[in-house]
Parts: sequence; C-alpha cells; structure tokens
Amino acid sequence: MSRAVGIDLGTTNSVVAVYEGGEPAVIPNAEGHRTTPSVVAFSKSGEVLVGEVAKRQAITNPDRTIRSVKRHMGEDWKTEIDGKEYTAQEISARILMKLKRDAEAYLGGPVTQAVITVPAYFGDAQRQATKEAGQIAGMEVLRIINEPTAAALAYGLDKAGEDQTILVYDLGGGTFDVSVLEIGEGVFEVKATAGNTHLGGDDWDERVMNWLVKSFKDEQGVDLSKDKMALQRLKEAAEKAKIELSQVTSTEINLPFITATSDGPLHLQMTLSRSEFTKMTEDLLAATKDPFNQAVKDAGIKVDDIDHLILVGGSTRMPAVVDLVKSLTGKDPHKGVNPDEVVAAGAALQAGVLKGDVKDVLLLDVTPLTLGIETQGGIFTKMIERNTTIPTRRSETFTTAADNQPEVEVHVLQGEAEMVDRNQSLGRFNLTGIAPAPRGMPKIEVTFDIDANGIVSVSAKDLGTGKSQQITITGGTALPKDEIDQMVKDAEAHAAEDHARREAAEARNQADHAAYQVGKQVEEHGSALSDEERSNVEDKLAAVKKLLDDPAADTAALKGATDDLVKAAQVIGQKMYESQQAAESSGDDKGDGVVEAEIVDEGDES
Amino acid sequence: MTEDAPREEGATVDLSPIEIDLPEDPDQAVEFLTEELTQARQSAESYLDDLRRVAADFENFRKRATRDRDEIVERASSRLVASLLPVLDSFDAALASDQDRGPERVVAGMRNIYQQLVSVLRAEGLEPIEAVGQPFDPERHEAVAGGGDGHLVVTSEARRGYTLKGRVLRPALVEVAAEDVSGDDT
Repeated sequence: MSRAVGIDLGTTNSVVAVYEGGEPAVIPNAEGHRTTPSVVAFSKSGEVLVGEVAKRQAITNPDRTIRSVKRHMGEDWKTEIDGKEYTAQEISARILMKLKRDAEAYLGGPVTQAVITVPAYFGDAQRQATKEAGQIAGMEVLRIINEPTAAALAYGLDKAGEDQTILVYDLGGGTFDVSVLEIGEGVFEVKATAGNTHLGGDDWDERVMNWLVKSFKDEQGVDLSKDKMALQRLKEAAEKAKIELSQVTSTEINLPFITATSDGPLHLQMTLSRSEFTKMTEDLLAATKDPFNQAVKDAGIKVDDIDHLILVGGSTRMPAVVDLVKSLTGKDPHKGVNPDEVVAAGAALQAGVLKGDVKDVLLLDVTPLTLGIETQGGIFTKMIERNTTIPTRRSETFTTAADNQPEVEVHVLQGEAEMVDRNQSLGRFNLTGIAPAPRGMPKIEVTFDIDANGIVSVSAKDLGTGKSQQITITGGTALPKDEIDQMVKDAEAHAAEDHARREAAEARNQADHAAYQVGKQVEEHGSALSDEERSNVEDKLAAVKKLLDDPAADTAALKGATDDLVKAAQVIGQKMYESQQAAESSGDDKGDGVVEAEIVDEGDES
Repeated sequence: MTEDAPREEGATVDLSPIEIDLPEDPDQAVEFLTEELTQARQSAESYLDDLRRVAADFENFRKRATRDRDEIVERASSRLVASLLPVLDSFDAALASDQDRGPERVVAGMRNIYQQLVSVLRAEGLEPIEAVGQPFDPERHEAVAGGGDGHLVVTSEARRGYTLKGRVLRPALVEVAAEDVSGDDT
C-alpha cells in the first residue's frame, strides 16, 4: 500500500512524519536524525547531496551549495550548475526526494502522496511553486496547508468548537512568525501574520558564545575568537548551555585545554545562570513583541479574545520565551507535542484525514484514574492503570485469606493511592457459596471491563464452582477534571506515608502466610525433626504469631521474625526431601546434591 | 487570506445490493425485514465494539511499548556508565596522588587513563574516522576550511570524528585542499 506523509519543508530544516496506528510519528532520516537540513549541493563529480552531507561540504563548494531556497520560492530565481538552470522548486524537490526516499526506507513501501506545509504569508505563486516541487519529487501533493494551521491540527484544535481564536508563536532556528487563526465550521482561517525572517534560536547561541569569548578574554587575556578550533567548541558548548538552561537554573561550561600560551595550557570553566542568560538575550526576546502586537492588531482582535496559544519551534522551549508569551496573552500554551515536530505532525494528521485513515468513530477515551480492588490489609490492588485506553478488560485471579472462607467481598475503588482509605469507593459486592477449602486454594477470577462509554463492570467468578457475581458502576467514575487532579495530587502528597503503610500491610500478610504454612508443615512432618529442631521452629513460629497479635507491631521486626521463621523451617523441607530420597534410592547413595526446599510463597490475598 | 479545510469525508464503502427472498405477504415482509435489520444492527454494534477494543488494545500496547523502550534506554545507559566507573576511579586516584612528586609519572598515568577510556569506548563500538591524507568525503568529514578545483583531500584534522557501530556519530572537522596542492606540504 502506498503511503501519504506530512512534510514540514522548512527554511533551515525539514521534517517528515506519517500518520500510523492512530497518531502521527516523525520519520528519522537515513542518518538517524529527526530533522534534515534544507541544504542541497551538487558535488564536482556530479552527485546531488542533500541534508547533513551537503552542509558538511558547503565551504569547499560554495557556488554549488544551496541553502534557504525556501526564501526564493515563487520568485523568478534560478541557479546555474554545470550549464543547467535550476528553479527554486527544482532545488526544493531535491530535499523532498530525500525525505521521500528516507520515508520509504523507513516504512518499507512507496510514498506517493504528501501534505506539505508553507508559511501562512505565502502567496499563490509560492504555494504553486511548493506544489510543483512536490510533483517534481514524484509525489501527488494532496494539499498545501499553512504551518500554523498544521500546528493547530496537531493539537486537535479543529475539534475545539466554533469561533475559536488561536495564536501561534513560531520561533525557529532562524525565523520568527506569529499568526492569528480563527476556526469556524471546522475550517481554519488565517486572520493575520507578522514576523521577522532573521531572528531565531541561533541568535541566542551567539550571545552565549560572545559572552564566553569576552569573559575568557577578561580573565585570561586570550582572545578565543581568532582560534577556529576553540570557536567550534564554544559554539557547541553555547548551544548545550542554552538547552540545559531550559531545564536547570544554572549550568557549568567546562572546556579543558581550550587553548595554550607560553605559560602552559588554559582551561575554560564558567557558570552561567538562567537569569544571566535571560538578561544577555533580553533584547532578542523583546524583538518578538512587536510582531506579536502587530499580528493581534491586524487580526482586529483584542489579546483577551485569544482562546488557544500554540508554541512552535525548538527555541520556544526556553522558559523566558514561555514566560513572555504567557504574560502577553494571559494564556498557558498547549503542551505535549515536540515544538520542532508539531508542524510535520499536523501535516501527517491532515494526510491521514485526506486518505480516510483518521476515523472519528474510533476516537477512544482513557481512564482518568486507576481502578482496582481492596485486598487483605487495606491494600489497593490496581487492575486497570490510569490513562489506559478504553474499552478494555482485565482479569486477575485471587484467593481466600482464611480456611473454609465461604464468601469474598469485592470492593471496587478508583484512585492513585496505594491504600484503599485514600481512594474513592465505587461499589462492593459479595461472591458467596465458595466450597470449603484451605485458604489459598480457591481460585476467584476478578474481571474489570470498561466499555467505550466508560461504564465499568466488575465480575468475580469462583473457578471451582463456576458461581459468579457482578456489579455495574454507572456514572460513578465520572469526576470533574479538577477533582481528578486533586485526587492525583493527594496521592502524590501522601505517597511516602501510604507506601510505608502498604509495606506494613504486606509484611503482615507475608508473616501470616508463613506462620500458616509452617504451622501446617510442623503438624504434618514434625515427627521427622529432632526435638531440638522442632522446638527451634516452634519458638520462631510463636514469635511471629505474637507479633501478628499486636496490631502496632513494627514492620521491620515483623519482616525479621518472618525471615527467621522461614529460615528455621527450611530444615523441614530438607528432612522431607532426604526421607523421600532415601525411600527412592536406598541402594544408590549419591550423598551430595542436597537441595534446600524453600517454603516461601507470595502472599495471596482475597 | 487562505483557508484550510481540515477534514473531508473518509473513503466511502461500496455496498453491493443484497439478494433477499422476501415473503409475498406485506406484513410478513415487514416483520422479516424488521428482524433482519435488528440482527444487522446488533452485529454492526458488536463489530464496532470489537473494533474499538482492538484499537484500544493497540493503543495500550503502544503505551506499554513506549514505556518499555524508555526503560531499556535507561538501562542501556546505566550499563555504559558502569563500564566507565573504572575510569572515574583512576581519575580519583590520580587527583589524590601527590602530583608534585614525579610529574612524569602523573602524565604517564594520565596516558593510561586515556587508554582505559578508549578501550571502554572501543568495546562499545566507537572507531575514530580516518582523516588526514584521505579523499574528502562529506559523509564522514566536515570541511571547516579549504577548497579548490579538482580532487579534494583532507590536509589537516581540527577535531577527530568518530563512528559508533559503523554509523557516523560525529564527523571529523577537517581542512581540505585540491590534491595537487596537498603534495607540497611534505
């Protein structure tokens, strides 16, 4: 089957994505990177190089290396290579061909159709040229869509409702765009765009680099700007520092042996705080304000009219950028899609829609909170984790906690805490008529099923008798979003405390289980033990039982006593094994190979 | 300005007419068709539910696969970090030693630590990229200076490049010159 892809054909970098299995996915290029430089070169041997490779040879071959061809789309621009003239669309087509080739290699099949994005300010001639570029590259261009529209699609804003106003703030490596979109009847309309074609993240890097050079000169008296090798290291370190400062408030730039003087080697070691970084790039950030205000003004709206804010471009990861846009709009930006890839993702989504791959009927929900049941000791045993896509079903087998237990109670809850008391109870029911059996023997299968409407039904079935019982919880699981958030927050706030309580409950369950098992074994096989062995095991058993009788017993003490008991009881297994061997091979005594039977069991709960 | 229509009808399903033996009596025919329709609706609903469940299963599978992959990546880096710890130990020992007494020994030790690091990285599949004297190859070399007409050759290396398991991790930063010029250096 041939595929349709979405392509963000950028000025400096391009990205290709495909709609696959219900969501857009970026396709890495042959070199393993998710973005491909929009650079084309014609080598002297006649080869056409695209992407990283073209970039690496650019300096040796400047006349035959073409960058930023997007700036010439739709113009009467031509470049002559070896007596042949190439238009901007023919050069762009080379980039698209590489993206197509790499996508085909990745997808393992032909790619014949594409949705390609263009800046919102592109006119008809530029759009036509972009479409031609796609055709030259051997693809049917399903549609040309605007970059801000693609970003809005990636965030599903086409379903946001009628008459919504969206502001897209796009700060790329070398260009800056602001667009105001309006959506009505499922159609996006670009109300206004403004920008600066020569402002981008590279300018931020340069500021850090200049600061490094100046500080080093002030400290050491050496000018690194003359040293090509040092500059290369500074450039990389500056970009790394910028990226790190999006996560942490201070970063160390450490470049040992950056240069040498007659006195010996010199090392560069500096600390850059986020606030210093913000200060040295303040004017760059401020330069994005005018286009912002211009776009809002041209769109004929007020800032308050903006319903949605979308950030595009890797540079919008900088906290100062987010803060600025937040203060300008009074809105929190949409999050979740990589800002470098959001345009290509939206284009891929659009390609999926046009191909009929996106089916609304299958828009599936997720469970907002974890669902589960109460097990011995007040522990919340999770059955369906939060954020699981529904409809879904899950079964697990449980057992009884006491000998001859005639019934079990199934208590259904939702929430994120490890203990039941902090979670919300949804309902409970009893499964009765369990045949008399020692604890741990009955098998009770508990099944959770959530249908497409979020209705939860829980059933319990005694696999021995086939008896079953069930409950359907309607409406009870639906909580307002703030209440869900509150529950998640509460669970986080008490996570450590609950975890300790859970451990205590589990230690108690295990101690109880071990005491039960060992008690039974002593009863059955105690006669094989020497008096000394037997009294040792019984002492340990009594110690565990004593702790179990004390509801305030220390968890560590309980665990220790359980371990001691299990260790002491190993002698029983050993005796059982030895007597069995002796019975089996009385003539052929091997002597060695004594295996210690372990009498530990995972505590089953009901 | 311009408009983008975000959605369009999906591919339509081609339904060929179904042949039915319809009872002659109109009342019976209505009853028959009502029954048929009820059954068809029921099976459509059950297929839709199956489809949703398969789609949800796939979605949950993908979530788990993503989580597993993240875990594997994390574990892979912890393995690499563990193999680098001996190098860290050597540095600790070097810095703790009295560097004023026997600087030559310290430098010799530094060389050994370098060897230690190289051998860890080599075991991971790291290989240096050959540069000086090689024909310029932008797949592996990044030119920072030079050029000219004719066959280009790497004349000097500003920073070493590496491949990891055969794939270029970082190209070598090189200066190049046309072949006949490079011969003059020696």
